[in-house]
Amino acid sequence: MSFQTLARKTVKGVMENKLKLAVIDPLMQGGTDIPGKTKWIPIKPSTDGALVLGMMHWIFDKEKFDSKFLECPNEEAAQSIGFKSHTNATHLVIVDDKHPNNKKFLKPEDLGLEGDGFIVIDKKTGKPQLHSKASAAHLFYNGEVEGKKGTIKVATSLYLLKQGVNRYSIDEYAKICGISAKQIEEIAKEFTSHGHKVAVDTLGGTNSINALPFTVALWLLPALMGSYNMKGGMASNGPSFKTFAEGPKYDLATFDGQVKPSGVKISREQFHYENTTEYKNKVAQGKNPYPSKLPWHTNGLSLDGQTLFSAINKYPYQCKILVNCFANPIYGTPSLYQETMIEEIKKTSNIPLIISVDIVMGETTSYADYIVPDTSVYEQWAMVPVRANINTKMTSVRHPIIEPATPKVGSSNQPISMETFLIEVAKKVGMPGFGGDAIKDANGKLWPLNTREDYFMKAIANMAYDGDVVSNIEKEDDKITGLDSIPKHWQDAVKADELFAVKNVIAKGGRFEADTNYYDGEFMKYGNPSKICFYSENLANSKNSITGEYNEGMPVWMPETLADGTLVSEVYPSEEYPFSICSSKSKLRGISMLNNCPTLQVLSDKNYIEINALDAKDFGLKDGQEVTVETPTNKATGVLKVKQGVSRGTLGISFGYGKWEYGSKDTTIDGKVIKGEEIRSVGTATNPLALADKSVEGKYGLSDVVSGTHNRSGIKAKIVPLS
Amino acid sequence: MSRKWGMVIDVRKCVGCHACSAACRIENNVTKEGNRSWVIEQEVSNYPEVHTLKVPQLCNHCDNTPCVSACPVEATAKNEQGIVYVDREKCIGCFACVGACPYGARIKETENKKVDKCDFCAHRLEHGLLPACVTTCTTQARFFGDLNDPNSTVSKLLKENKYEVLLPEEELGPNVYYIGINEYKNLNK
Ligand code: SF4
Ligand code: SF4
Ligand code: SF4
Repeated sequence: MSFQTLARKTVKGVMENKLKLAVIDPLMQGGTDIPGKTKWIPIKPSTDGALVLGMMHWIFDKEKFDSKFLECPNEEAAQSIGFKSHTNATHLVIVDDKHPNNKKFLKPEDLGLEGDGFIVIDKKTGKPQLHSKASAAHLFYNGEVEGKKGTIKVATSLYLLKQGVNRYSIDEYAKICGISAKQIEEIAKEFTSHGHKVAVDTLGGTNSINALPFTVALWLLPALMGSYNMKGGMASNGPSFKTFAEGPKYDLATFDGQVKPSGVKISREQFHYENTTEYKNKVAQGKNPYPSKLPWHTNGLSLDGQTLFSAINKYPYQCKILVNCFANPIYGTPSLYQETMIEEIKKTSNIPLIISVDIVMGETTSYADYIVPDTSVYEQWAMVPVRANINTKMTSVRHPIIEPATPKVGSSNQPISMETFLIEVAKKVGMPGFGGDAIKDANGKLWPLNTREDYFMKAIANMAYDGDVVSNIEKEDDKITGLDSIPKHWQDAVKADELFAVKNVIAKGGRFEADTNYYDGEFMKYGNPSKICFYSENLANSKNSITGEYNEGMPVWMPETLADGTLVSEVYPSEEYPFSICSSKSKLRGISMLNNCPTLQVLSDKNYIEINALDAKDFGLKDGQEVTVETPTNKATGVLKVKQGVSRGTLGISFGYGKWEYGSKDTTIDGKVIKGEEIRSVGTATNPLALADKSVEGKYGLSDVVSGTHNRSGIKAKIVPLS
Repeated sequence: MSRKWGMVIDVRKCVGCHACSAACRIENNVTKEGNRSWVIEQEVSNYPEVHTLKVPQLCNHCDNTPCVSACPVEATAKNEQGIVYVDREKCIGCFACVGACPYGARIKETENKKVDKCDFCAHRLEHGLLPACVTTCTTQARFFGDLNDPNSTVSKLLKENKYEVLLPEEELGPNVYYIGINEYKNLNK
């Protein structure tokens, strides 16, 4: 919903000459695109980091950052000069090999000072001072301070960032990303010409194996200008209403007998290899602990794709049951749908049991031992928080508008769905928090959890009573929405006096603050004062589990490498693989589950392999030609589209097409053949083309070691004509 | 003077999202054989200075109607509000009108042996609602109204802006107007 709002606001801003827009993308997708008002800047795939660091280079050279703001060492100092964020630009970091706390922030105790926090060089005195006690501090101090046990070499966070940025010249950055130095400087100049009224946004650039420094650097650009939480600057999403956590009416988050999840995630995320038994054992045996069998993604988050690589390698531990729901990792994860990987997924010695909860025979579901039918969007409940550019408070509610078509099962005779499956299994195995006496209301009374409505109706009651109470539903609304005839067990799931406010929330599709009041004076209304870090102590003190080398604490240009640090361009040279695939999200098939939508099938039945007209000429390729795209690990066929709006050396292939299951083939269920629809499989899929990483011991899709980001964009490829 | 419905589309504002086409398909139960509303995307100028011109299209509800003249059974006509419509009861599926329309605005429903086309969502207009493509438009690039009323949004837009029509050489007097096409086309010069 919110991307449409973004499009509307962008067009409006550009048409009224209030907004200047440059779209940096290997593919010219031509959304808001008005001659003389907007500009497309073609960039090579997976080089976004070079552009941003090039901009920072210019900003540092010309001192175009907001020094008054950056000099503020703490929140109060920044607030006193009108900002709603502050940074650690001035905080000193120990850069002394001989010091036990090398790479960490200098602490008061290192200097024999009292107090807590960080140390800065006070602008007034030129001496070290607690960050909370100075109102302004030196930005680029690099030198020594007198410690408890002798001098310590230190530098400020901003100094370290600048040092990292300056490892390459603007010309070198320009060469890497394919955007001229002049243009990089122009963008940097424009960016720094509006005070704190500038913002950045991204999506595609974050999907490469070298995307971490890019993503961090990009969010740091507006921090150099003090833009966070400012009107016209960077805004956080608006807040949500209370739903599942402890709310005004029901506590849906905690219950008696609750066990906190603990342990190491199988996806190898948020955990340091150095804390594993494997590491400790290797060290005890006097062996070099590096490399680990598969990378440990210390800074990764929610890496469902990595879960499957872990499972097929039985690393870090054996997966026993894989339950898949609301997901399709075999289609959605780069490098996974390849013969060598699929063979391993099929082995019951790797994954003894796969249960998939799905509404169709999806690519992942087709490997399941048990398939649990789920409900579709029209048959289910969901609560969706704010996304993207909405800066007011809202939570939307989806409710079943038809009776689910799935069979009724279990002790409460409910339509089978993900929720029914979980409730019934939990009750069977006697897990706390399900069945009778499961949910506590605000008065301490206990309620049962036997149906999905027992849960969702209560979450909506929390929403309805969060702050001002929502009014009761009007008679007319009750009637036209059909909420006047909801099943009895929906009604019984909340107190009688709450029901009509709950129904009003459902009827309105959720609860939404008026979309008018975004600001509080010069600040964004929402968004707590935030601290932005130019240097990350965590990152700098963690190691790459394959090479054993320390990570960088600040964003530094990183070419694409295998996990062991070998350059991808060395293993797969451009003479052999002249193209990089840019995987894009097309407007008519942005997610993996739209190929069964009849309207979209008619409006856009397939995707293409998009190529720059000059490249096509060089390689003797023609528009409409059938070709094979070959990568070092896989190949696929497709139809070429020759365009002006593709950067040189790029193949643009949009996501969502080229599926091989999802109702595209005939399926036999209980002896009955369900006819497949071939149109669902048309087009080319890029994820199966992504590279496997042969530099690690296990069977593994090329990913960034630190963050676990896959090789979604920047896949090395060549084109072989079929006709 | 009676009403004369017309549409104005500002192509500069169109982001090519095809939401109009999708909404029209759903609103009017359009078969898989074609679209009442569709969007053409075309690159103008060359790499790297390229732009994409998006032209949403539909029946132009022309003043001169070769499509109507082509029909042997008077199953299609222009009504007093300017809407060119098909009477599906009378339509015999000869598809003569389809060939007569230079805009490709008529859909052959081969299986049903009927012709389908945009009727400016007449069933919505009756209830005082705008056409589905207009209310759906993501960026408010489409405007609809009475061309005979000098105070309507469409009349004002045409007074205040330079505009074009598609295939002016056909001289059919189309009632769908476009603002901004030349800003793109001029780039090719
Ligand atoms: S656009 Fe085609 S179908 Fe519509 S009125 Fe004109 S000629 Fe007839
Ligand atoms: S006016 Fe109605 S029928 Fe015509 S294109 Fe728009 S939505 Fe379709
Ligand atoms: S809905 Fe509006 S913006 Fe989207 S394609 Fe149609 S006319 Fe263009």
